[in-house]
Amino acid sequence: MVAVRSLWRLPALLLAAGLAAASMVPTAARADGVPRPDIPKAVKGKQCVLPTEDMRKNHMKYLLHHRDLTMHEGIRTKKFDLRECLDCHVPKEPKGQEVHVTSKKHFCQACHAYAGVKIDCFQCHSDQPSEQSPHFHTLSGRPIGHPGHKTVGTKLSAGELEAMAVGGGVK
Amino acid sequence: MSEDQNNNTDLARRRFMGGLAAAAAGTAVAPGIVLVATAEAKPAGQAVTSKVRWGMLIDTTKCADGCDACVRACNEENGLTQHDDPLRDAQWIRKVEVKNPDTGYSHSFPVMCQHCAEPPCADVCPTGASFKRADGIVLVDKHICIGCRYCMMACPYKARSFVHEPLHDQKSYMPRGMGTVESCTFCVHRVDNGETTACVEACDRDGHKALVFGDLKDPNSEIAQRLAAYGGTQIRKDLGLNPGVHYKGI
Amino acid sequence: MNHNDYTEIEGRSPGYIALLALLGVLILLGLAAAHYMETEGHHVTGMTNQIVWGTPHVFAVFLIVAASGALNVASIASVFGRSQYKPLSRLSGLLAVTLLVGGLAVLVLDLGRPDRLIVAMTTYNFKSIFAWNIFLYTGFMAVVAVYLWMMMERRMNTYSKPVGLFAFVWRLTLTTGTGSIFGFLVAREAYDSAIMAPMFIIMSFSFGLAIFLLLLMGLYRGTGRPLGDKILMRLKNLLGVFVAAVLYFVAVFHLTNLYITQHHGVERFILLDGGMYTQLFWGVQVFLGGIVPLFLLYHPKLGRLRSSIALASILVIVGGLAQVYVIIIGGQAYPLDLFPGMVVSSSFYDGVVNSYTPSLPEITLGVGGVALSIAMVLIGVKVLRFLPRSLADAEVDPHHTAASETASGEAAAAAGA
Repeated sequence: MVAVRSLWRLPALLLAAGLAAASMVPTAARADGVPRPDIPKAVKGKQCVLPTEDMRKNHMKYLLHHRDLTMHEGIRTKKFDLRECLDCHVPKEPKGQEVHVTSKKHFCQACHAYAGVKIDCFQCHSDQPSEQSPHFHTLSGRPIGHPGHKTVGTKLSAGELEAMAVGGGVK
Repeated sequence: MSEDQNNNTDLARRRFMGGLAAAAAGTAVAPGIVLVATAEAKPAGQAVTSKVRWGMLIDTTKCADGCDACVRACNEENGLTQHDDPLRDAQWIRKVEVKNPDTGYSHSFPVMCQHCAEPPCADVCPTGASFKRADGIVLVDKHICIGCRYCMMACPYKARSFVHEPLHDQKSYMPRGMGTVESCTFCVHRVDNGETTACVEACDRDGHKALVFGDLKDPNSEIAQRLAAYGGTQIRKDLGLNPGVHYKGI
Repeated sequence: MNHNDYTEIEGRSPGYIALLALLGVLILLGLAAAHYMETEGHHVTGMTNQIVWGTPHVFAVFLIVAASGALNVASIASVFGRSQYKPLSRLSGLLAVTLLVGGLAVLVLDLGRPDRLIVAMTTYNFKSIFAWNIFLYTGFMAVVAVYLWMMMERRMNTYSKPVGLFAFVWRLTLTTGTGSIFGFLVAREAYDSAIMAPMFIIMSFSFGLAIFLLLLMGLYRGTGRPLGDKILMRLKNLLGVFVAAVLYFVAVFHLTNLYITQHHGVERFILLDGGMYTQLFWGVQVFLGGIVPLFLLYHPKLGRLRSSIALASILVIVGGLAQVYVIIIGGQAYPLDLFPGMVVSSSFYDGVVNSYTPSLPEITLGVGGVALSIAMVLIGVKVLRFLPRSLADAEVDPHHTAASETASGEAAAAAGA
């Protein structure tokens, strides 16, 4: 009897000592003492397209899935457009002062450096907000995702068709 | 007849002629309105289908010697910075001067990725990064491109370029990176938005109008109409690859 | 020859250590070159948008082709039942694996995105011969490993014949796949031919055996183990046959092309006015790599000299490298024919012969791969029992020796009687 009771004395002593020690350690940013990454706040919008916790956990899944849809099937949506992500999360700075993904101040790199995961995206993709954020325009001036009602030079009007039929070219 | 009656008849005749003219004009114009009003862009969020096949018609008789508007437009649109190293600089479109040694006739015209229906580049790619989209545009999925350059060996048109140096400041709509292979995309970012390619736009803007881009499967499109009316051929037609780029005058 | 007749080499001589150290340095340099190419981009190499495959690919294809040919000696023993070659089977298997590893290392490190090797090994387009080759190459290493196990584990010896046959068929498929990388390309006039696959197979016989012969002579000389003439003569005669066969295939390939008017341009380029490529073809590939070795190997006196055999092997290897260089780089140097019959020019080097100069990073990477292969062989023979203790005539062919002993014994008895 006495032997069993004394067997538990040592672990109990150690536990008490550990708790005392932990409570004496000065805490860092948060109460539990675990350092957190310094993630820059988004520059616009109140809410991401999906809940934050969902994004934090699954953004790679969404990125990979939608990049394949866009690449192979041409499905382009505003919700899962990488440019829209960057437009919200990366501030537009004057030339020469851009925050690139090489710096921990970049939204993506802040967390990725902390997690120790190398980012492959920005070898090819621009890591800056799009050229004419908030809306991207092509050379023609029309924003992506907002198709125009008039197309450029791909269809002929009846008059042009008639002119062709007569034997002239289209001028 | 009394004058009033004559006047009435005249008036009626005029009205009738006016009505006829209006009807004729309306008939002439209405199809145009209907044609033009139909948006060509597919709605965002929908997959492309093989109901459409994108193609280009290049009228070499209208292509001006020494003009490289299409090349400059492509370079600017896609952010192809040139480093004064023609051996390694990306060239998605190039002007080619072709001379017949027997007759002496020579002319120049642009050559780019021909967007074949049976692309040899897609056949040889080990990972499937080089592929043909359902609407006929041949692309490189740079996410899975390993940079082996086998597609460059396989392309009969030497359409592809390899990125030999680290890149910065890419256009947001045209990602491109070191170690991957790239080529003309028919400005897929524009096409998916219902617009035409940068080279066609530049050629039209400069007044030459030698390039026409459109849906080969739509009998009402300009390109289909022109091909039906004037014909056209393809480079190395004998290879049986059925390119989407047609040429008139070669 | 039983199991105990194979022993590890001692591997403690200064020469051995020094050689291994040198190879180690070359391997490190090769890795450094690969790292440089990966971080700076391929603009530091001689490869361009016109010549997309350069010196690394020449080395890689040569090593891979030689790897499948190196297994030949083991196949002759297991598949074709020539027991005199049996002692050499283990070394043959080892060399096959190490040459393949060296070749693959060079190939993978030259990729534009070598960090995407995982993608290459998990995402496949099975219409591509490259995709099949990934399976064929890695599978070959596994098959040969099993084959070696069958040969080296006494209890599994009964299975070495069927596994040997499987390995033989596998390596023929592998070499066909390697040749088809080029043979399937309709775009390039220098390739686009069904003969590429069988020609690569016969090239593999020749290059693989030359490397095997050289390595065998070097290892036995270096370790002081006896290497009898019997086995050496058989091997060198076989090499001669393979060299002649390669010359035949090359001749048929070019003669056929000369008949096809469409291909006259590329034939003229390779055979006549291609400058360096013509010199490499006639001077190195055909003459140094074909005719001179044939002379050396079949000459009644020279053919029996070890130095001559070694020289012939070296020349076959040099000629082989030149052959692969002419195929890969010469084939790209000749311009694509977009407009047959026309004179073409552009800003993208249409219509002109493309120039290429091997750059230092490329050569370093290629040499690093060769060093890796040799180093792996040297370490392998020290760690495991690959090398027979002796390849003296008596060991190799006891029946023949016994017969001649009996004959001389009878003659002595008859003389004595």
